[in-house]
Amino acid sequence: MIIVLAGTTAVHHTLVAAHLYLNTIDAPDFSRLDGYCDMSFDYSGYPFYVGNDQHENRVYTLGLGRLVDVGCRAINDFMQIMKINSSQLLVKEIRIPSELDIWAASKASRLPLGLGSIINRLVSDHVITREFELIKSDICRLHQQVSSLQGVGYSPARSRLTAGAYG
Amino acid sequence: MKIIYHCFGGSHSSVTAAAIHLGLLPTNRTPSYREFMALPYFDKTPGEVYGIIRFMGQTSEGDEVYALGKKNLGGRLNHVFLGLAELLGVENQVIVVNTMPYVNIIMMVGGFLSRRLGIVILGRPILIWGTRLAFPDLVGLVKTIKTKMI
Repeated sequence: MIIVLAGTTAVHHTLVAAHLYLNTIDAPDFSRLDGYCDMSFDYSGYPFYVGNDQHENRVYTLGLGRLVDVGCRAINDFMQIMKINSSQLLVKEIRIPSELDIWAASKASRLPLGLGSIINRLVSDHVITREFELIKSDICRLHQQVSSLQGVGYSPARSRLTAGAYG
Repeated sequence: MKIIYHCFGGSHSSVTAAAIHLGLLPTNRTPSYREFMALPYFDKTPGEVYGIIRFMGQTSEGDEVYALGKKNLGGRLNHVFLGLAELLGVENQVIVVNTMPYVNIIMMVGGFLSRRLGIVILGRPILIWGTRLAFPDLVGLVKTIKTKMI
C-alpha cells in the first residue's frame, strides 16, 4: 500500500506526521528530519518519499498549497476514475490550526541572505511544536485505519522502524 | 486512456477543450453562442464543485474525457496526479492537461461576472466572446494531446 500524507506543504507538519507514523520521532525535535523545511522538495508538487513502515507500506508526503480540501477532493475523484482503492493508495489529510501560517512562512523561504529560511524554520517549529499532540492523535487514527485495511492488529509499542530516510 | 482537462472553475476552458476532444464542437470554424451553451457544464457549474472531476464523455476509441475545476492549484495538480499515477504504475493510462494558459482576460472577466457574481446576463456574452477568441488555441492544444496519444 502507498500512504500519502497531504497538507499545505510536503516538508513541514506532513513530514513530522510521516515520521510519527514511522516511529522515527517521538518528541518535537525536527532538526534531524531529512528535508524538514526544505522547500526544494515541495516545489515540484510530486509526492515526497519518507520511508517504509513495518508492513512495507511506502509513506509519502504531499504539498497541495493552501487549497488542501480542493486538492484532496480531486485526488479522491482521481482514485475513483483510475479505479484505485484505499488498499492500494491511502490519502490522509493532515490539517492543523495555523497551517496557513506555515504555508505563508514557506513562501518567505525565497527571501535572500538566509532570512527566508530562518522565518520559515521559526514559524514552522513554533506551530508544529504547539500542535504536536494533535498530529500525534491524527497519526494514531491513521495506524488504526491502516491496520484495519490490512487486517492486522495495531500495537504502538511493537511498531518498529524501517524508515528509508534513516536506512 | 483517461484525459483530464483542468482549469480554474472547471466550467469554461476545460469544458471547451474536453468538448473539442469529444467532437462535440466543430473545429473547422468558431462555434456559435448556442453551440457553447449546449455543452454539458459550460458556464453552468456552481463554485462548490471545485476539486470534483466530472465525466464529459467517451471518444469512439474508448478514451474517457473529464473536466476539473481546481481553483488556484495551478500546474501543481499535473504533478500531483502524474506523481500518484507513477507510484501506482498507471502513468500510461492518464493524461492531465492544464488549460489555464489558454484562458484570456476576456474569459476571466466574463467567467467572474457570470459564475462568481452571478450576473449571467452580462458575464455570459463576454465569456463566450473570450472563449471564441481562445478557441483556435484550444483546438491546437487538443490536437497536440491527440497526437501524443498515438
